[in-house]
Amino acid sequence: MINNTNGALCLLVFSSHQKRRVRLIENLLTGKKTVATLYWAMRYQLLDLLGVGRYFNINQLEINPLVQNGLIMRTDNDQVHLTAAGKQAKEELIQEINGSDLSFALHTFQKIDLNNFKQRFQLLVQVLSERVHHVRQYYPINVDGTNKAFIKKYYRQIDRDQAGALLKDELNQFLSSLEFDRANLFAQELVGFNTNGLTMQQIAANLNQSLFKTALDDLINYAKLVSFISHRDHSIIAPLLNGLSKHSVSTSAEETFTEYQQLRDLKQVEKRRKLRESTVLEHLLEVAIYTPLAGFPYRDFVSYDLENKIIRHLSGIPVDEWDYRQLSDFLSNHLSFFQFRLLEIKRTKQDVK
Amino acid sequence: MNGMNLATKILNNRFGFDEFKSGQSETIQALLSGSDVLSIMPTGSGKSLIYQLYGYLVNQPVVIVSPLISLMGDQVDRMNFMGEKRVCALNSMNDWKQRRGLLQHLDQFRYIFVSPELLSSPDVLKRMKKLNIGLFVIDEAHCISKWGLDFRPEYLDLGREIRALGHPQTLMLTATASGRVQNDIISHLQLTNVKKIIENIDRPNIFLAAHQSSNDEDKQEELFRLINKLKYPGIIYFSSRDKADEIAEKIRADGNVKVASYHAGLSNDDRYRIQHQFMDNELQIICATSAFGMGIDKNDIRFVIHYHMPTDMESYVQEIGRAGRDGKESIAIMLYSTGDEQIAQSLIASSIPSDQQINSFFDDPKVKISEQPKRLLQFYMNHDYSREETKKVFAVVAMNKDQSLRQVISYINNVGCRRKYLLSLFDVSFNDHDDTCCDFGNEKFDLDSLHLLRGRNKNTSKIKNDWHNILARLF
Repeated sequence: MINNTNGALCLLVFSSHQKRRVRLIENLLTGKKTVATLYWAMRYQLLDLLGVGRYFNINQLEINPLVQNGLIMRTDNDQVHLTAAGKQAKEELIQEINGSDLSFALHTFQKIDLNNFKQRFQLLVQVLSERVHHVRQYYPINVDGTNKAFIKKYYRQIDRDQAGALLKDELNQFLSSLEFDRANLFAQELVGFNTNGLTMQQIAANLNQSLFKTALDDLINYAKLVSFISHRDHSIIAPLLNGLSKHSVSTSAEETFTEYQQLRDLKQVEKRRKLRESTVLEHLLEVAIYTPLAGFPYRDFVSYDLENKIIRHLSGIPVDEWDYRQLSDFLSNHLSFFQFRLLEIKRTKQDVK
Repeated sequence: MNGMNLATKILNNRFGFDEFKSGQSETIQALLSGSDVLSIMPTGSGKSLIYQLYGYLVNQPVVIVSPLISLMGDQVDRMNFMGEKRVCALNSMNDWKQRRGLLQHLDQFRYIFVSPELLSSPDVLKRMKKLNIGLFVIDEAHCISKWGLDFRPEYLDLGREIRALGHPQTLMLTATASGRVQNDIISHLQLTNVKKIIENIDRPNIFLAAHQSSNDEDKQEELFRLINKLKYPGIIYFSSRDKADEIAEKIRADGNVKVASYHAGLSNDDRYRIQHQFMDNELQIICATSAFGMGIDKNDIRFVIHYHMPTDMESYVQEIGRAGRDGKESIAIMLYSTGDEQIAQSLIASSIPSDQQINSFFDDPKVKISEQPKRLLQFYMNHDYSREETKKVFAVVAMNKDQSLRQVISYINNVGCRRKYLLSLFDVSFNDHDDTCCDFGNEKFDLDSLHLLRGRNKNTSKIKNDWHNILARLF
């Protein structure tokens, strides 16, 4: 049984049937959005984990202890896979955490900046709690300067005499909708009047469950809170979401793609967008990764003929092992890396379908 | 109204105190005479009040150079808490936008905390020059000597920066500095007219003891024997995060004590909650690395135990100084097991670049070596030191560090009064040993007679932690 968060995260991101690259997954967890990271995250079906490491305070995976415990096997150059024992440990872990809640939470995590939402929310709770008890002198929790400024501004806008009661009422309804332990977890972390809050570790110990499960439950709670407040009229919490929407595809890539759809000419898109060719191509790959198969004009870039040639040439080789450098000279002369990657994306989506 | 009368009035009105603590009025008086001042006052004696009050007195901005970001944050929070909002901190935690905003409005702040790294950056220095600085404070000034050479070389540039700022009146503050360190501070800063205010660093209400074990297992046993008897709250210091976590977990599993570990690996959220739980006595023991304590203002800490020895006695005095600020009986115990000095030695070795690292760095500054030695070497290279000069610098640092560590070992092995030995390192003589002073001649010291024995565990009422109760408490 793996008890530490880093180890549990390792089990979750690695697989027994696919060799995966440690560095790439670390980049994914820290939220480094390069096309290579996104492509491999798609291959690993881990796109929803983009940036999740920040939530757990983890930017490096500690593989060695799991290798020593016989749960992970290293193959060549930075690739690892789970052993049979690792696979079993992963299954146990997934059983412990509720899978569907988790995918809902991770999906929300990609749409909303939950880290900042949580900071704003917890500061608002503290400020209003102290206000209700007429305390003016207290230490505010540590949140980023921009979130602090946001709450200060919001505090000035609301009806401060009513706000505490409204927040209490809203939280009451929200917490009633959660399982009892999950609701306790959520409340125990809060800071305010005569309440210092507990750390995640302390809450985990109280609940007699792993820190990882507790942190995931916390993430699920905040995802549920977002969903709860989004469906309410006059929520006092909902305005905290202002400016916290995240888009899978960057605005800049989206603009490039829109231009392309109108112009259907890469050179003109470069000109119009004032971008280098390589950037335009990266934008298109990013859009392809996040767009359903039918939504991207693959045929504009790789002809039916060329695609067939490549597929024949690589037949029998799993897409994970396709390597542009190993194409025959003839093919690589007729196919750029951009086209090759696009084909890989297309094949991945076809396989998943 | 003369300066001192006005100062007392501010003390009354702003801070709510009737009189100054020892050392505060002397320092303010020295500042009022116009000199630069080096003030050595024990931890907990109210050093920060001096510059805060002086800022109101001269009605000009005060710049405070502070070595640790967490310490700065604590001080900003505390001044905000006390009602002073014109406080800011310039350090590596600011993002680009924040930093630009702060620099643009720098003249609107009365108290500006700054890390030595940021102070040395040209844009910050340029903005600072435009301020009419009333007082330039170097907090934890011993860093110039103790850490300056090897840990925070930027402290060595402070002399140059003081001159670049047109030599504003300068106050150097520290809790511990031997004669050697005092001279070091003044000579590095190249100040000539410095008044020294030296308060006795002795803390007579802290009983001093050490205990030697033959191995780690015995040491843990002794630790548990002690914490099962000692009055709370207390701090146990470790030199590694893992050990702090491990022992905290063992204490927690062992019984009814509320304990948490605290180190630089914690998130901001956890740091806040643990500090405040400890302040409000919701935690009885903290297992900490040296990251804990610099900004902690809790006056009823009854014991400080060192599970691992510090690397020098200056740190030791700082860390045990967290105990007994309320003047009541407290105890500082250093635990030692055979071979512990190797941990300290390896900590020291990892903080000083080796000859081999110096060679590789001077051959190719892009070479891959660990962060800390690299930063140091970069500093010396930027300051035009040759390879051989750099080696010489670090040879001296290594020798000094080794000597400092030996003092710690001598303290542990000391035959005779521990207080006398400890104070002698800071040029203070002491001859009043008795049974409440230290474990000399009193090896099996009785905690009961020292008033440090914990009574029967009071059945502390358990805070109800289900969400209904929490909501009811919050609102």
